[in-house]
Amino acid sequence: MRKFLVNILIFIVFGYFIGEFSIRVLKLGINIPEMYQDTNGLIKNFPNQTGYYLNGNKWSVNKFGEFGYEPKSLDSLITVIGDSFIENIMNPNECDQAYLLSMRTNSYNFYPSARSGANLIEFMEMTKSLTHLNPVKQILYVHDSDFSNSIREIKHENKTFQWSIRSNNISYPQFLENKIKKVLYNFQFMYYIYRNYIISNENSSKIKIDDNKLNIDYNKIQKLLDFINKTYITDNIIIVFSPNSDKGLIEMVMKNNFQTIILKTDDIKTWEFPNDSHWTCFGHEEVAKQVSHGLKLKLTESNYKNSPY
Amino acid sequence: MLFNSIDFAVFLPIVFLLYWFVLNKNLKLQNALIVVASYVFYGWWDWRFLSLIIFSTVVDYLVGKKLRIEENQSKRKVLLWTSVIVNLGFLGFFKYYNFFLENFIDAFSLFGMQINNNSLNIILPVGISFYTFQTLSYTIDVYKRKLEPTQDFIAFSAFVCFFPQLVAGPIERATHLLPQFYKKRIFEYQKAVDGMRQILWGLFKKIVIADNCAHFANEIFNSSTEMNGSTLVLGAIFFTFQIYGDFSGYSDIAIGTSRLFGFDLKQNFAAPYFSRDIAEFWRRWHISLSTWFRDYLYIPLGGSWGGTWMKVRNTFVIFLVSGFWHGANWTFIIWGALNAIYFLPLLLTNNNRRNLDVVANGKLLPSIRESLAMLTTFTLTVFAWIFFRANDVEHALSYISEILSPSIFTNPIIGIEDSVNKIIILLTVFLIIEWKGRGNQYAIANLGSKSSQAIRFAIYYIIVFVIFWFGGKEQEFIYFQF
Repeated sequence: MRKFLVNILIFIVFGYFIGEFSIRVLKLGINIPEMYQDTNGLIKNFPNQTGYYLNGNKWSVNKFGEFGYEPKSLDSLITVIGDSFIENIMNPNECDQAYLLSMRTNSYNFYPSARSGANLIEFMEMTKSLTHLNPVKQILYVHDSDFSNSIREIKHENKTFQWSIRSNNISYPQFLENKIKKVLYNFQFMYYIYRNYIISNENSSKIKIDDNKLNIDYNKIQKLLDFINKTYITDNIIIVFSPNSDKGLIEMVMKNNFQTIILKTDDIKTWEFPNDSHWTCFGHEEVAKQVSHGLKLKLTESNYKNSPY
Repeated sequence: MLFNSIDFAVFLPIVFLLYWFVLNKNLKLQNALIVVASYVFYGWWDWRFLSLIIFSTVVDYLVGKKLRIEENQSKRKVLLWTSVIVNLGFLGFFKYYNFFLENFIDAFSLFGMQINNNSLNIILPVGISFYTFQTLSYTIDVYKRKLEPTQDFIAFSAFVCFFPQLVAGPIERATHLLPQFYKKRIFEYQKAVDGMRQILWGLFKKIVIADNCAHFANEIFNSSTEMNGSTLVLGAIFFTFQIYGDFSGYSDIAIGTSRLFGFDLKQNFAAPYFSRDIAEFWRRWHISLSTWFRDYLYIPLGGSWGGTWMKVRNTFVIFLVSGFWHGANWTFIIWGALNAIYFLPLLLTNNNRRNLDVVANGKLLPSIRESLAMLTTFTLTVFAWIFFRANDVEHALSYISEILSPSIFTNPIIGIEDSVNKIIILLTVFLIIEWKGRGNQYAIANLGSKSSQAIRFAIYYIIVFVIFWFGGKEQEFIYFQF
């Protein structure tokens, strides 16, 4: 029995080292960026970091602490704000939404700002933190769930900003600088297996179920929009709705005087990864095409409005 | 609980350590642990249906005890039929109620009679076809006085619900498995290592071969109306390997797991796709079921002793019942009938026991004659599997008619070329390994046996790597639905 257990142990331990070595050499693991929480409660990345996502895909954090594309200048700036879709660490930097928009709209600089899991109220906090750069426009990429997830009374969350209808206050996300978590991230082979074989299938099905079963509480969302209109500068904000967004929600946002761009596709699956609803490079390009087109119209409208004649 | 799940990867070491380190001094406690672990294993899927297993266990145990003391033949018969009715009653209700009801309604409607359809939304309890047959074998053997009825309820419960083979076999005979619960198990290093190796090979068959083939087979069968003939042929071939990888993979994991606990289960598959005729195929495919039908149905019906008519009738009976055992659908019955039709010429010409040994025994490659015989058998098998996989008879017939159309001469149109190439390469490697190990209990039983431990470890690492790297998306074992 002892011999059997020892051999099993040797097999597992040695196999683990082979796996760990292969993951690191082939760059198949995931590196997590170093983060901190600023005085406004926003969780940010330390600038100038690089690492790898699955399948050897390299990510980088620019000098502003944002994932992906780094604007050449901060003049004539348009911010590109969102969640993991805009963070986009699953794709190369060439498929970054800010980069793709800058390729299509040369006269402006695009500044990405995103955090995985962020919701609408966190996007608004991001817009507030970027007002000192005097952006011409602030583009927010939203999904239906971003509205509900912003309201504490609908879904209690500790990891993101939330607004409470009852107290009319915003709560900051809890930032856990967990040392154990850091140590665990160093076991890249284990994390690779966990990520690829345990949670990948669960996630893909969960995302779809969540989206399908989303019950939208329009009354509470109206209150959220009222709060946003009172609290933040919203004149230059453009809300980009992902394809198949709820029509009632879009109408409500438009009635509340937000500028909107509504993304459309005949088949959303062509934009997504097979087991992951995030957009592929193709998806990002399609999005950038539609957004840059919508953006040009909005910018022209603004020019007319601001014209002295 | 699925064998290819994280739950099982945690469950198995816990049970193993408790079994050999905590309860190893007491046989009864070891058996009790097996019962508890088996109920947890089964209850993980749906604990409500544990009551069926427990009820079946109690009935057969009591019937066995009564048979021990009862000498009156007619009373013994009543006891036997009690067990048969209870076990087949459960099976009939859960598996066949809606099928019979719908077919009765259809039959009566032919005569212009309308009957209300009171079909029920019945969930089929996992493994019911397997443990029902296992417990029946006990009662029948006790009735025939081939087996001494057990006095040990815990050992009998463990025999009925032994978790490695509870939900998808191999279907064990009481005469083979039950006595193993009476004897103290001693840990044997070689047996345990062999068990681990067989588990590894079973996982490879299931995750790499079956799950990858399932992806294409499902895609093709589910959209068969949009596919051309050559694609449909590929779909049938993919399903042929899917069902083999799936079911024989499960059997390998079951047998390997049992060996870790000191038990020996019967071999369930013996390289069936290298068979030279259908009779040989059925001696090598799902051996535990085909021998069950042979011993408890074919032989009692008279077997091959009677005249030609008797032989034909009995052959059809066991193949049709075997088909029906797989599911309440006419497709399974036609699948059984087709196999009977394939088998009959061999039986009637007394050639059904022509190929008893391993093909090309001791040779590297088969002769041309053997190759042609294997190819013919394989083709017949693939054709029959179309009925097995199709949603209904109409689906199967439209599938076959498209195969027989001129579109069979056009290029296949499926998915991404890279993925198809990948699975074709994997299947080729798999067939080479299966061919090399065709005379063994399982293909890699002797792989690297003369090499050093380092070489053997390297082989296992390669298999593990292939499982992780090329494994298909997790699918439930096909035979869970039977």
